Amino acid sequence: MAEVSLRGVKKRFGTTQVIHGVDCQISDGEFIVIVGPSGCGKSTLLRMIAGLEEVTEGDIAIAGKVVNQVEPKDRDIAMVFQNYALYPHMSVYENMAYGLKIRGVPKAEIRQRVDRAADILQIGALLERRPRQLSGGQRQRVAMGRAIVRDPAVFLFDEPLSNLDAKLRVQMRVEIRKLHQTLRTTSIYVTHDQVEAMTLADRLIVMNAGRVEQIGTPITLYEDPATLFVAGFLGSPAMNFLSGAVAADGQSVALPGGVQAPLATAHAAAAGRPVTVGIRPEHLDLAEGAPPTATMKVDLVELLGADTIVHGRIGDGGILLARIDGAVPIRTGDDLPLVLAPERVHLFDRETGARI
Amino acid sequence: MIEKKGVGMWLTHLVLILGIATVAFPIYVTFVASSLTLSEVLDAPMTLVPGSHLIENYSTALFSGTQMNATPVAGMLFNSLVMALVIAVGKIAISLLSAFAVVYFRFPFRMVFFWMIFITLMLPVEVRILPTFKVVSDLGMLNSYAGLTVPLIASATATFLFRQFFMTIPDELVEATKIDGAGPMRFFRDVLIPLSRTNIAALFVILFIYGWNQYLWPLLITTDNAMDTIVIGIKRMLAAGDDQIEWPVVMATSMLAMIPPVFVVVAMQRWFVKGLVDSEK
Repeated sequence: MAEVSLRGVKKRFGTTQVIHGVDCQISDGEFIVIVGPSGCGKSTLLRMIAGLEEVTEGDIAIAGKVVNQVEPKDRDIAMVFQNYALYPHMSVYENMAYGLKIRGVPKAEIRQRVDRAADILQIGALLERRPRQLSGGQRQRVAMGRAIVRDPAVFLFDEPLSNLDAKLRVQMRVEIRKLHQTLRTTSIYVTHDQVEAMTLADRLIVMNAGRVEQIGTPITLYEDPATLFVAGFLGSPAMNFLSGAVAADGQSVALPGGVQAPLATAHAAAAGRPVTVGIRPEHLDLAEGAPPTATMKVDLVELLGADTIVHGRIGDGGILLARIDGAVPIRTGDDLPLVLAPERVHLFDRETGARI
Repeated sequence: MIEKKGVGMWLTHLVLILGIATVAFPIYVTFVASSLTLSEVLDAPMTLVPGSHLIENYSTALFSGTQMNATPVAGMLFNSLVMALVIAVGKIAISLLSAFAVVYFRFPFRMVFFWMIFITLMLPVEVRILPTFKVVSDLGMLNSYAGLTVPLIASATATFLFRQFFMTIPDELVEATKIDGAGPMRFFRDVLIPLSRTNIAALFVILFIYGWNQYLWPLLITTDNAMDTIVIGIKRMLAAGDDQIEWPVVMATSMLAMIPPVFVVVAMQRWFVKGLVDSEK
């Protein structure tokens, strides 16, 4: 087990800068998820930590030791790949034992460690099979088993669940979380799936275009997104963005359709400025007799059973999504009165995307 | 595959049987001729019933050769076997290593080397035979196993085949071995070779037959009868000048010449077919 520190880590491929400087301190036993859209540099960052890519600038330290020039095998890490990368010609047992065999671990100990890992992952019955005789979920377990037997300081996961079907993904997600609770090994997990990120992470690193947008616990990032990007990336359905302008007294913000939404804190400094207003669909509630903040013209209703997603408009450019609990009888064309808690309104700078 | 019924099936079978008969008939005639006496062979038309001199003809061929060319075929078979095996194994070893270097290592002029290897594909043995002969003779390798085999070992085709195969192996597999702690040669031995084994088997069959059937090169560089390969041996037996060619013995030699390649094909058939058709190894 070990902590990992990234200090001003940059990566250039030729003249293309793909990572613009990442600083992060990952503590011992922490489960960190790096999340972002494809091409944001998250996998490259992970591969640099693994030692599969060279660091152009900055330092990566594992357990207090800078490992920029250390071979992957000497970094005391184990990695789970997206396509599993199992050795097709070896049995499950040999796949898991290979790393130990190379390191010259005695046979009896290999047997014992593989059996223990197989036990944890419930793949004891599959040890003599070849990878091609396994299902996707089983292969994924073997890939994790290969990492576990090594008992490394850090686990690295590179989108390990992307090749699984939706149901299995949810199941494996839970298992990875449980596994981490059992082993308490520092883990760094890369994904583009925000649900995976939110459910697994102790802390999240949200990346966009080679830059870290925000680092924090999932709930912090959800409730207090630092930038427009983080706000839009986390949460499903995604946050509504409307163009608005802060009123002269800084107490409310004007939305399309003549709606005035009150703000929880006065934004005197931003008074009169055009801003982007972010409202999560789940924070819009039916007025149910209370004075409505806004009235939405309903365009489309999606009944999901547990909740109802309502697509609609306020005024001319104000397209809104509202997520209402339960199955509510709303019809297309209705005028839907909604209330909005002032503390749930996020304001973002139009130019920089930074939270105001 | 859709199973045909009725006329279609019979027609398919008829065509197949005719095809096999066409291919097999000359071999059968060879076999019959190898079991007759010379005068029986020279009867026109030659009988198609096997005669009674089978063992006699084969033992003459194996242990003494024809009267004009008194080299025992057993020795020729051994020479051919050495040549075919060394060429097949050598070609596979060299190609595996050079494909490994070209695909997995970054070194200056990597692609230049690759294209140099590739370009030699366009130059068949016959084109470079004079310079090669000069080199081999200057190195004093005439009439030796080294001279028979070494110049034929370099293989662009096999290198190219292995390169193409290595390129289909996912990068993650290489990275997984790096993280597992295997160095390049360990990766080569533990992962690449086992994954290539069906390709190796298929190539071995092809290259063994290639080596076995070599004609022009051994004809040029061997003058000593003790170094004759079986293909050359048959040719020498036919060059009997004014004397009567001993057809039964020549035919027996031909049959003997066919046995090792057939054996290799039959023994490796399963692997061979797998190597050619299997995508999942």
